[in-house]
Formats: sequence, structure tokens, C-alpha cells
Amino acid sequence: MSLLNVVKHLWCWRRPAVLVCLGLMPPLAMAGAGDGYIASLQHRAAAQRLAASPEWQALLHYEPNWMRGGVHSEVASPWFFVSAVGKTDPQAELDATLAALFSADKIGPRKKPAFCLFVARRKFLVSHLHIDVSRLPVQVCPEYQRWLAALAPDAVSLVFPTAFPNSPSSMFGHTLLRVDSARRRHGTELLSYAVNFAAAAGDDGRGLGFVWKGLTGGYPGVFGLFPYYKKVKQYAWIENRDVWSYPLALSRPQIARLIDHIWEMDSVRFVYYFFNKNCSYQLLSLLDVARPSLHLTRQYTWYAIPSDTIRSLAAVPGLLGPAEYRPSMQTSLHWEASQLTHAQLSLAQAVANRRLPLNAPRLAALDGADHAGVLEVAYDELRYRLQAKGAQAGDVDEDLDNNGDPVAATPADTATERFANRILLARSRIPRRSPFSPVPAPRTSPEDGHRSLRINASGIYADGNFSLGVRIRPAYHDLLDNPGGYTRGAEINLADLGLRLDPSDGRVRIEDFRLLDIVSLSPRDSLFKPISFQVDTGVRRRPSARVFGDAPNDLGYYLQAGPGLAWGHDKLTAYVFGLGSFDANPSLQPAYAVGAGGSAGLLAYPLPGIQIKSEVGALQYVAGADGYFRWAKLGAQFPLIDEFALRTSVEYDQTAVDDGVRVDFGIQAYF
Amino acid sequence: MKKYLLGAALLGASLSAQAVAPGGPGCGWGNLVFEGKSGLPSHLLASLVNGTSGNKTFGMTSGTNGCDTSGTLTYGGKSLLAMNGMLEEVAQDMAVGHGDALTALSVSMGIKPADRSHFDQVMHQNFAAVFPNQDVTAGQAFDHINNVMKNDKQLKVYAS
Repeated sequence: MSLLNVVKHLWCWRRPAVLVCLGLMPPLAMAGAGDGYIASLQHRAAAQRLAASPEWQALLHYEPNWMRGGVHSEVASPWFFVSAVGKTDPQAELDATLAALFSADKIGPRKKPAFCLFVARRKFLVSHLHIDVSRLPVQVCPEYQRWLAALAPDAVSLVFPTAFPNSPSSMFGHTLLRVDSARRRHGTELLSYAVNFAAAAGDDGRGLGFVWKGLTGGYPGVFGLFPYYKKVKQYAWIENRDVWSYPLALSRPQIARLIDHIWEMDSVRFVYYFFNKNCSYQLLSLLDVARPSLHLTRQYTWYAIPSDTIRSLAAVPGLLGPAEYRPSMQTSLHWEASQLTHAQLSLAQAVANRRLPLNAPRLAALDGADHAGVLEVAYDELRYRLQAKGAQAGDVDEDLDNNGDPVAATPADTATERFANRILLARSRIPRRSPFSPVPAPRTSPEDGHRSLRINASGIYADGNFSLGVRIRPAYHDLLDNPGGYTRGAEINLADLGLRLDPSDGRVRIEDFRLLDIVSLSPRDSLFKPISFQVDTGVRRRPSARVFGDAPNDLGYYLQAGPGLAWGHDKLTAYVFGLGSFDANPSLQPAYAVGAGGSAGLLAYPLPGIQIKSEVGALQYVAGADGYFRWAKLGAQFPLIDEFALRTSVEYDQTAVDDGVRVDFGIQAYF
Repeated sequence: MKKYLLGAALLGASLSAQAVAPGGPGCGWGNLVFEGKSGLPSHLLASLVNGTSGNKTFGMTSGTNGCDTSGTLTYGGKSLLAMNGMLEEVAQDMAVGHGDALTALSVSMGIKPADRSHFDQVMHQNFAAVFPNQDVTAGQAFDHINNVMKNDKQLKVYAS
């Protein structure tokens, strides 16, 4: 490549419609001073094949093209590339970067010379090519130095706020990095910093358009750097999500490279895709910079589910330290309440509901520890309740990050605040520590949960005939899967495809395709009164037993959804749902039906790995075709070794024109 | 002024509104992490740096680039309190006598590890002086904490 070419690469970058080229004269003049040296560096870099090295590929976010050779960078900001063809040509980008180090010209929206803008890239080139830094026009970056000194990075952790089924963008959870400072940690991680990748949805961050754009690359994705306490506040204290974190075993040079690259990521835009180019994927791209030999992003071409990426990291020997657990406010409140006697919990609730004054003799009669416990639970309950009220007023979006500013309080809120302050005052007068022990971490942490791609092969006896079934579910977790490491009571099946094979003649048919199925069971008790819900949509046959029969039983679209109530605990949960449904199916006359009904069931987790669910339900068609759909089902799963399990079910389906029983017995594996 | 109590409840309600707010004035890495002893110098530093940061044109969500609504992000003691609602957690920990938020406060105020449990204890005993009512603002809480420290022979070295 000629020098002129390099210079052209260096000084041109594309803007939305126009090609902007800065004057060629000054750089040529400058290149004249060092062009022999630049050329020799470029020659040396080519001889060392630096552009093809994992380090360079990771720093520029190059990924292999699909189906054809070559690479492309996932960065969408043109100024991130010094060469005009840098997005697809690592060699040209490396040559242009080398040349750019010999210029003091300011690049991109951050208006910094290449030396200070692309710090990690520069350090990589300087160390591999032994560049004589004294010959460069820019040699110091005070702003970067100040930033680095303030950050004082000492350790990095991977942080996983667990799934939040109430918001579509966070139903699989989220991952971010936490950077602990040498100076600040001292027994609290709240003063650390969070590195987060998120879609910048701007001013249309809600509704269906938001979901659609998030799925299809309609939003830019950007890295953000936050005070970590803000993230804790958002996840654990507002959204009631438990937060796990894992120290990453990175060497000092690896941490330094990671932090330098984070500096390079300021203002850089990617294209955000919810399923594959999401928060978890881009965090892997950062870890690839820290440890280029890992090639983490290449394991996740199609979709990157946060908990799966944690399992990938856990599979790298020695990379993840032991999981640390931060319970959400709701989890803490549950735990505290479970340590009070029934009578004490009643007292706490009476205080929270302002039915019992703080100077009541019944409170004063308690011994110090009990009195403190009652007041702490009363305050937490009051706070939780107000928070839930606030959260309902505006739902919370995951990958969108927000800062909150309190809005004007109503008079009722003011009275509650005054009362809350009085509870704290009363509590502070009891001179002893909190009587509650810390919340124990769940026995199974997320990296030890089952993997989310599930394949099931089964024998099915239905309609007097035997057939074979295969199910493929890319993601994520249902209520019969082993719940260890997953959010309790949260089922999400995505793109779950069922196929049936008739062994007598080799016919294969699609049995059903569940595009999206979400069930959120939130048990109610004396403290919490949550509403459960479910949504299920896709195509299926009714009754499901009759896949091969002669009776008309076409695949038809269905949507059913509704609110519910659940009661119980970890081992046994009972639930009821009210359901509405819509079916579009050529077997119906007319070809659609609107239904209303309900379902009820029991979910039992008697021993680790054994899950049993029974359910009955009915939908009466109220518009469109006449008829109904009723079902009764018993299903169970038993553990085998590692990622294998047995699953069996008995199901009876009935419509106005047909009915059928089926028995399934299968083996399933998680990948 | 922000009240210390239940800010989080209202924070929940205002998240949606914040999602639509474009980037605050001067967001970017530059103003992220400047530490100051009591917060004020770092405010100045951060606002100086703001001028050099160019991505305010992006119109992204205000949080995405770590921009605090107050335009500052430091971990000096006073601004730690002032930053969006940490005050509430500090108050709760103070009433109970210990906790993560109270530790974060003492660390950010430069209190040495050996003095931290004493700090926790003194703050617990003086909760009524620091948070006399629900309308205490971050600045007032900081002043109250300072006054309490001035009257404690072990903690007065940290008072400003």
C-alpha cells in the first residue's frame, strides 16, 4: 500500500451523506518528516502479522463474516476507524493507525489525537513494534491520566442481576462489569464503578415499537460508566432483583488493557440487537480485549443469554471466582420477616399500616432485639410498598439506563415520609445492632443452573398409536426444568418447536411451535400481594393428541394470556389464572374463536431436581366459532446425570368435536 | 430540594420520564470520575471537563453515558449523599447502626478503617441530630454529620 493511500485512509472518514476529507497538505508535510520511519513500522507490523493477531482483532471488534471470507468490525461509529476501509480491513486500519500516531490532529467527536483517543491500540502497537515514542508529536494525555488515576482500577467483577420477567427487555437477566478501585473498596462495593452496555433508545423507549427496534437493530448500543451504587439501587432496591457477582481472575496487565479499551469506548456506537449483540455479548467483547486468547464472542453468533455467557466464563479454568450474592430488598424483607414470630410480624405490620403508634406499650414491652426487629421490618415493608406503588406508575426497562430524579410528592406521600422518619428515629433509640442474620445465598448460583438450549426426544402414546417426538427449545427455562440458578416461578420458553414422527409410514409433522410463553408465578403472603401473569402464543393443534388422525386438526395460531394469583413456598405452589384467548384455525367454523376461561394448578419441587406440575383449564369460545377447549395435564421431570433429565407427562385435551389422551415419556438434554 | 426519604419510591415512578430525557448537559467519560475531599473541587473539575466532551449531540438516554442529573459524578462525601437518593439508604443504615451505605459514606469521607465502627456508632446515636425530619436535604445532612463529628474527639479530625 502506498503512503498516499495510507494518508488518505487516515484523513477521510465518512459522515452520513458526505465524505469529509481534511486538507491533505499538513499531514503530507508531517508525514514527510517521519514517513521513512512510519513505513518501516508498517513493514515490521506486516512481517509480524499484527493485524491478524487476536489482540488487534479484539481491540477493533472484528468478527468473521458469515459464509464468506474476511471480517467486519461491529463498531458502527465511522470515526472509530482511522482508515476509510478500516471497518473491514484490519491491515489498512493498523497501517493508518501507525501513521495517525505521527499526527497531532484531533479525531472524531471526542476531539483527541489518535495517541490519546486509541490508548489501548497505541500501547499494543508501541509494545510490539518498539516504537520510539520520543518521535511522536503527542506523548502525553493528561485527561486520560486523570481519568485513570481517579478510577484506580484494582479488580474487575462480572455482575449478574437476575431475570426480571415483568419487563420484556430484562426477562433473561443482564450482565455488566464492576471495576473496584484500589482506594475505594474498603469493605463496600458501592463505591466501585459499573461498565454497562445498553441500547440508547432515546425518546421512544417504550411500547411495541421499542421491542421491535430492540430486536431488529433499530437502536445504537453504547457502553456506559456509572457509579456502581446506582446499579445496585436500580436492581436490588427498586426492581427487586437479586444480584450475583463473580470476581474475574485477570492479571494486572489484562485489567490495564481492559480499562484502556473502556476509555476508547467512550461515545462509540454499536448496533444493538436484543438477541445476539446485547449487553452480555458486548461484555464478552471487552473480556476478549483483556484476554484475547479466549475468543469469547465467537461462541455466541446467534443469541447470547446472560446466564449462558456466565456459564461460558465459568468453563474457562480459574477465570471466575466464587459467586457473591446481594439479595434484593424483597428477598431481605422476606428473610427478616421469617425470623420474627407470628405475633411480632403482626406488630410490624400494624406499625407499617399506622394502626399501632410507635409509643404503644405492646412495642415497649418487647426486649431490645425484638423491638429493633419489629421496627426494621415495619420500615422495610413501608418502603417496599411505596416503591411498588411507584414502580407501577412507570415500568422499568432493562437495557435502557436511567437516572431518576424524584418527582413532586403528593400530600399522602408527605405524611408517609414523616411517619417513616419517625420509625427510623424510634429504631435509632434502640442501642443495638440489627438482630437479623444476613440473607443466605441460594444453594445453586446462576452459573450452576442448567443450560438454556434444550432438546427432548420422546416416545408418545396417543390415540391408540405410538409415535416419536422431538422438541427443540433454544431458550430458556420452564417450570418443570430444574429451578436451581433461575428466578423462582419464572417460565420463559422461546421458539419451542415440537415435531412428531409416525414410525409406521415415516410421516413427520409439526406438532406445535410456541413462539413465546411466559409464566410468572409470584406467591402471595401476609407481606406481599403480587399478581402473577402468563402469556403464551404460537401455533398448535387441538387436541394435541391427534397429530396424525384423519379428523381435521390443522395447525392454528393461538394467543392466550391472563392475570393470576399464586400461593405457597419454594416446595409447593398453587395457582389460578383468568385467561382470555384468540385462535385462528382453518378447522374452526368460522376460522377464528375468541375465548374466556381460566386454569388452576399445583407445582411441586419435592426434592432437588424433581419437579411436578398438574394443571386443569378451560376456555369457552365467546365469539367466532362455537365451542370450547379444555385440558388436564400432569407432568414431571426427574434428574439424570449432568445436563440430562427424564420428562414425562399425561395429558387430556377436549374440544367440542374431538378429544384425546396422550402419554409422553422422553429424555432431554441441555446445551 | 430533594427530601431524603422515599426518594427511591418516586424514583421508580420517574424512570419512564427519565428514559425519554435526552443526555444531560455535558455527558461523557471526562466528567465521570474525579474525586474531591468534600466534593466541591471535583464539581468544578468535572464541569470544566464537560466542555470538552462532544457527545451531548447524541440524544441518548441520560443514564447511558453515566451522566448524573446533577451533572457531577464524584465520590466525595457530600456529593455521595446528594447523588440521587443514596441519602435514604444512609439514613436507614444510620438508624440501624451499620450497613453498606453507611460504610460507603464513611469511606468516601476519608474515615480510616480503624475509626469506621466508631463512626457507625456515633452516627447511630445521633440519628435524630442528622435526620431530625423527613425534609432533610443532602446538604443539610452533610452539615449535620459534620457538626456531630466536630463534637466527637475521635472523629473531629475528619470534620471540615
